[in-house]
Amino acid sequence: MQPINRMKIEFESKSVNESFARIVAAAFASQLDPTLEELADLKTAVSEAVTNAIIHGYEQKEGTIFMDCILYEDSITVIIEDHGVGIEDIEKARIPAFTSKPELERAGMGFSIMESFMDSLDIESQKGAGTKITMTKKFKKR
Amino acid sequence: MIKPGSLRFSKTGFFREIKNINRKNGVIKLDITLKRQNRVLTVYLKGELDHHAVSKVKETIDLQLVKMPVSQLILDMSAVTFMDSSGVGLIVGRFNKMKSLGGSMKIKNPGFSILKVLQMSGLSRLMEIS
Repeated sequence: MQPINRMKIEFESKSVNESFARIVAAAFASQLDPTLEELADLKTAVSEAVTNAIIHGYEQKEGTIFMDCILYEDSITVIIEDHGVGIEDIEKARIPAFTSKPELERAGMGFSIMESFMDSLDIESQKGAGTKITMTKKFKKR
Repeated sequence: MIKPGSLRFSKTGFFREIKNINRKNGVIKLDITLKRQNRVLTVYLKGELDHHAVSKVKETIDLQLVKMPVSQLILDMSAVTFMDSSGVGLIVGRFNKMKSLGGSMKIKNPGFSILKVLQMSGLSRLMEIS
Protein backbone atom coordinates (compact mmCIF):
# COMPACT_ATOMS: atom_id res chain seq x y z
CA MET A 1 0.00 0.00 0.00
CA GLN A 2 1.25 3.46 -0.91
CA PRO A 3 1.75 6.03 1.87
CA ILE A 4 -0.41 9.12 1.57
CA ASN A 5 1.62 11.32 3.89
CA ARG A 6 4.81 11.19 5.93
CA MET A 7 6.40 13.18 8.74
CA LYS A 8 9.75 12.90 10.50
CA ILE A 9 11.01 14.65 13.60
CA GLU A 10 13.89 14.31 16.00
CA PHE A 11 14.03 15.57 19.55
CA GLU A 12 16.19 15.36 22.66
CA SER A 13 15.91 12.52 25.10
CA LYS A 14 14.09 14.55 27.76
CA SER A 15 11.02 13.36 29.66
CA VAL A 16 9.17 16.58 28.84
CA ASN A 17 9.23 15.42 25.20
CA GLU A 18 7.09 12.36 25.97
CA SER A 19 3.93 14.45 25.81
CA PHE A 20 5.29 16.42 22.83
CA ALA A 21 5.84 13.23 20.82
CA ARG A 22 2.44 11.67 21.54
CA ILE A 23 0.61 14.92 20.80
CA VAL A 24 2.47 15.35 17.49
CA ALA A 25 1.76 11.74 16.45
CA ALA A 26 -1.92 12.12 17.36
CA ALA A 27 -2.20 15.44 15.52
CA PHE A 28 -0.70 13.86 12.39
CA ALA A 29 -2.96 10.80 12.66
CA SER A 30 -6.03 13.02 13.03
CA GLN A 31 -5.89 13.59 9.24
CA LEU A 32 -7.48 10.14 8.96
CA ASP A 33 -10.34 11.13 11.29
CA PRO A 34 -9.83 8.33 13.84
CA THR A 35 -12.09 7.84 16.86
CA LEU A 36 -11.09 9.29 20.23
CA GLU A 37 -10.40 5.77 21.49
CA GLU A 38 -8.08 5.01 18.56
CA LEU A 39 -6.22 8.27 19.16
CA ALA A 40 -5.90 7.52 22.89
CA ASP A 41 -4.44 4.08 22.06
CA LEU A 42 -1.93 5.64 19.66
CA LYS A 43 -0.89 8.29 22.19
CA THR A 44 -0.36 5.68 24.90
CA ALA A 45 1.76 3.45 22.64
CA VAL A 46 3.91 6.40 21.41
CA SER A 47 4.40 7.55 25.00
CA GLU A 48 5.56 4.05 25.98
CA ALA A 49 8.05 3.84 23.11
CA VAL A 50 9.51 7.31 23.76
CA THR A 51 9.72 6.68 27.52
CA ASN A 52 11.48 3.42 26.74
CA ALA A 53 14.06 5.26 24.62
CA ILE A 54 14.66 7.83 27.38
CA ILE A 55 14.87 5.45 30.35
CA HIS A 56 16.37 2.32 28.81
CA GLY A 57 17.92 3.45 25.51
CA TYR A 58 19.72 6.51 26.76
CA GLU A 59 19.50 5.64 30.48
CA GLN A 60 18.15 9.15 31.18
CA LYS A 61 21.26 10.75 29.67
CA GLU A 62 21.58 12.94 26.58
CA GLY A 63 20.60 11.52 23.23
CA THR A 64 18.41 12.03 20.19
CA ILE A 65 15.12 10.25 19.54
CA PHE A 66 13.83 9.94 15.98
CA MET A 67 10.12 9.62 15.19
CA ASP A 68 8.87 8.77 11.75
CA CYS A 69 5.10 8.72 11.10
CA ILE A 70 3.70 7.28 7.87
CA LEU A 71 0.03 7.61 7.00
CA TYR A 72 -1.80 5.12 4.81
CA GLU A 73 -5.44 5.28 3.80
CA ASP A 74 -6.64 3.47 6.91
CA SER A 75 -3.63 3.22 9.24
CA ILE A 76 -0.58 4.91 10.69
CA THR A 77 2.86 3.42 11.14
CA VAL A 78 5.05 5.04 13.79
CA ILE A 79 8.77 4.30 13.98
CA ILE A 80 10.61 5.40 17.11
CA GLU A 81 14.35 4.97 17.11
CA ASP A 82 17.18 5.66 19.52
CA HIS A 83 20.94 5.19 19.27
CA GLY A 84 21.27 4.13 22.87
CA VAL A 85 22.45 0.99 24.65
CA GLY A 86 20.05 -1.42 22.93
CA ILE A 87 18.09 -4.32 24.39
CA GLU A 88 20.04 -7.44 25.30
CA ASP A 89 17.13 -9.88 25.18
CA ILE A 90 14.07 -8.66 23.26
CA GLU A 91 11.93 -11.72 24.11
CA LYS A 92 12.57 -11.16 27.83
CA ALA A 93 11.77 -7.44 27.49
CA ARG A 94 8.39 -8.32 25.93
CA ILE A 95 7.31 -10.43 28.93
CA PRO A 96 4.60 -8.56 30.88
CA ALA A 97 5.85 -7.17 34.21
CA PHE A 98 9.51 -7.72 33.32
CA THR A 99 11.63 -4.67 34.04
CA SER A 100 15.38 -4.27 33.91
CA LYS A 101 15.09 -1.33 36.28
CA PRO A 102 12.98 -2.41 39.29
CA GLU A 103 14.55 0.37 41.40
CA LEU A 104 12.69 2.93 39.26
CA GLU A 105 9.27 1.44 40.09
CA ARG A 106 8.67 0.62 36.45
CA ALA A 107 5.66 -1.63 35.82
CA GLY A 108 7.38 -3.53 33.01
CA MET A 109 4.23 -3.11 30.95
CA GLY A 110 5.61 -0.89 28.17
CA PHE A 111 5.86 -3.47 25.37
CA SER A 112 2.66 -5.24 26.51
CA ILE A 113 0.75 -1.96 26.21
CA MET A 114 2.28 -1.18 22.80
CA GLU A 115 1.37 -4.67 21.62
CA SER A 116 -2.15 -4.55 22.94
CA PHE A 117 -3.00 -0.96 21.93
CA MET A 118 -1.56 -1.20 18.40
CA ASP A 119 -2.24 -3.72 15.63
CA SER A 120 1.38 -4.67 15.07
CA LEU A 121 4.64 -4.20 16.92
CA ASP A 122 8.14 -4.93 15.73
CA ILE A 123 11.26 -4.40 17.83
CA GLU A 124 14.74 -4.36 16.35
CA SER A 125 17.66 -3.84 18.68
CA GLN A 126 21.36 -4.31 18.80
CA LYS A 127 23.39 -4.08 21.96
CA GLY A 128 25.39 -0.87 21.93
CA ALA A 129 23.76 0.40 18.72
CA GLY A 130 20.18 1.27 19.65
CA THR A 131 16.56 0.24 19.31
CA LYS A 132 13.97 0.72 16.58
CA ILE A 133 10.31 0.20 17.38
CA THR A 134 7.88 -0.01 14.46
CA MET A 135 4.19 -0.11 15.25
CA THR A 136 1.02 0.21 13.22
CA LYS A 137 -2.48 1.23 14.21
CA LYS A 138 -5.41 0.57 11.92
CA PHE A 139 -8.34 2.94 11.98
CA LYS A 140 -11.85 1.65 11.44
CA LYS A 141 -13.80 3.06 8.52
CA ARG A 142 -16.49 5.48 9.75
CA MET B 1 5.56 34.10 48.56
CA ILE B 2 4.87 30.50 47.65
CA LYS B 3 7.73 28.70 46.00
CA PRO B 4 6.89 26.63 42.92
CA GLY B 5 6.19 23.06 43.96
CA SER B 6 5.60 23.85 47.64
CA LEU B 7 2.51 22.99 49.67
CA ARG B 8 0.11 25.46 51.21
CA PHE B 9 -2.87 25.18 53.51
CA SER B 10 -6.31 26.64 52.98
CA LYS B 11 -9.23 27.14 55.38
CA THR B 12 -11.10 24.12 53.99
CA GLY B 13 -8.32 21.79 55.06
CA PHE B 14 -7.29 21.18 51.48
CA PHE B 15 -3.77 21.83 50.54
CA ARG B 16 -2.76 22.06 46.99
CA GLU B 17 0.52 21.76 45.22
CA ILE B 18 0.91 24.45 42.63
CA LYS B 19 2.35 23.81 39.20
CA ASN B 20 6.03 23.19 38.78
CA ILE B 21 7.20 26.05 36.62
CA ASN B 22 10.83 25.06 36.35
CA ARG B 23 11.52 26.03 32.75
CA LYS B 24 14.79 24.10 32.62
CA ASN B 25 13.07 20.72 32.99
CA GLY B 26 9.76 21.68 31.37
CA VAL B 27 6.34 22.23 32.86
CA ILE B 28 4.67 19.21 34.43
CA LYS B 29 1.12 19.04 33.13
CA LEU B 30 -0.27 17.60 36.33
CA ASP B 31 -1.81 19.21 39.40
CA ILE B 32 -1.97 17.41 42.72
CA THR B 33 -4.52 18.20 45.41
CA LEU B 34 -4.40 16.42 48.73
CA LYS B 35 -7.19 15.96 51.26
CA ARG B 36 -6.73 14.33 54.61
CA GLN B 37 -9.67 13.21 56.74
CA ASN B 38 -8.76 11.26 59.86
CA ARG B 39 -6.43 8.58 58.52
CA VAL B 40 -7.67 8.66 54.94
CA LEU B 41 -5.52 10.50 52.41
CA THR B 42 -7.24 11.35 49.13
CA VAL B 43 -5.02 12.43 46.25
CA TYR B 44 -6.77 14.23 43.38
CA LEU B 45 -4.76 14.25 40.17
CA LYS B 46 -5.53 16.57 37.29
CA GLY B 47 -3.72 16.35 33.95
CA GLU B 48 -1.34 13.88 32.34
CA LEU B 49 0.29 11.09 34.33
CA ASP B 50 3.40 10.00 32.44
CA HIS B 51 7.06 9.35 33.28
CA HIS B 52 7.73 13.10 33.31
CA ALA B 53 5.12 13.64 36.05
CA VAL B 54 5.35 10.52 38.23
CA SER B 55 8.35 11.49 40.35
CA LYS B 56 6.52 14.62 41.50
CA VAL B 57 3.44 12.59 42.51
CA LYS B 58 5.54 9.90 44.15
CA GLU B 59 7.50 12.44 46.24
CA THR B 60 4.31 14.26 47.27
CA ILE B 61 2.44 11.11 48.38
CA ASP B 62 5.42 9.51 50.10
CA LEU B 63 6.07 12.69 52.05
CA GLN B 64 2.47 12.61 53.30
CA LEU B 65 2.81 8.96 54.33
CA VAL B 66 5.76 9.70 56.59
CA LYS B 67 4.26 12.90 58.02
CA MET B 68 1.17 11.31 59.57
CA PRO B 69 -0.28 7.80 59.77
CA VAL B 70 -2.51 6.89 56.84
CA SER B 71 -4.71 3.77 56.85
CA GLN B 72 -6.23 4.30 53.41
CA LEU B 73 -4.90 5.99 50.31
CA ILE B 74 -7.46 6.99 47.69
CA LEU B 75 -6.31 8.06 44.25
CA ASP B 76 -9.02 10.10 42.53
CA MET B 77 -8.33 9.99 38.80
CA SER B 78 -11.47 11.70 37.51
CA ALA B 79 -9.42 14.58 36.03
CA VAL B 80 -6.56 12.49 34.65
CA THR B 81 -6.60 12.89 30.87
CA PHE B 82 -3.72 10.57 30.03
CA MET B 83 -1.86 7.72 31.71
CA ASP B 84 0.70 5.18 30.50
CA SER B 85 2.62 2.41 32.26
CA SER B 86 4.62 4.98 34.24
CA GLY B 87 1.36 5.65 36.11
CA VAL B 88 0.90 1.91 36.65
CA GLY B 89 4.39 1.73 38.21
CA LEU B 90 3.53 4.63 40.49
CA ILE B 91 0.26 2.98 41.61
CA VAL B 92 1.86 -0.43 42.25
CA GLY B 93 4.65 1.26 44.21
CA ARG B 94 2.16 3.16 46.43
CA PHE B 95 0.00 0.01 46.80
CA ASN B 96 3.02 -1.93 48.09
CA LYS B 97 3.94 0.91 50.41
CA MET B 98 0.42 1.06 51.88
CA LYS B 99 0.44 -2.72 52.28
CA SER B 100 3.75 -2.59 54.16
CA LEU B 101 2.24 0.07 56.44
CA GLY B 102 -0.77 -2.18 57.12
CA GLY B 103 -3.12 0.03 55.11
CA SER B 104 -5.06 -0.18 51.87
CA MET B 105 -5.41 1.71 48.61
CA LYS B 106 -8.15 2.27 46.10
CA ILE B 107 -8.62 4.11 42.83
CA LYS B 108 -11.66 6.26 42.11
CA ASN B 109 -13.29 7.61 38.97
CA PRO B 110 -10.84 6.67 36.20
CA GLY B 111 -11.98 7.73 32.71
CA PHE B 112 -12.41 5.20 29.92
CA SER B 113 -8.85 5.35 28.50
CA ILE B 114 -7.30 5.31 31.99
CA LEU B 115 -9.44 2.31 32.98
CA LYS B 116 -8.25 0.48 29.88
CA VAL B 117 -4.59 0.84 30.98
CA LEU B 118 -5.48 -0.15 34.57
CA GLN B 119 -7.33 -3.27 33.43
CA MET B 120 -4.68 -4.25 30.90
CA SER B 121 -2.05 -4.03 33.63
CA GLY B 122 -4.04 -6.26 35.99
CA LEU B 123 -4.46 -3.55 38.62
CA SER B 124 -8.21 -4.18 38.79
CA ARG B 125 -7.37 -7.57 40.34
CA LEU B 126 -5.01 -5.98 42.87
CA MET B 127 -7.17 -3.21 44.31
CA GLU B 128 -10.64 -1.71 44.31
CA ILE B 129 -11.41 0.55 41.36
CA SER B 130 -14.73 2.37 41.54
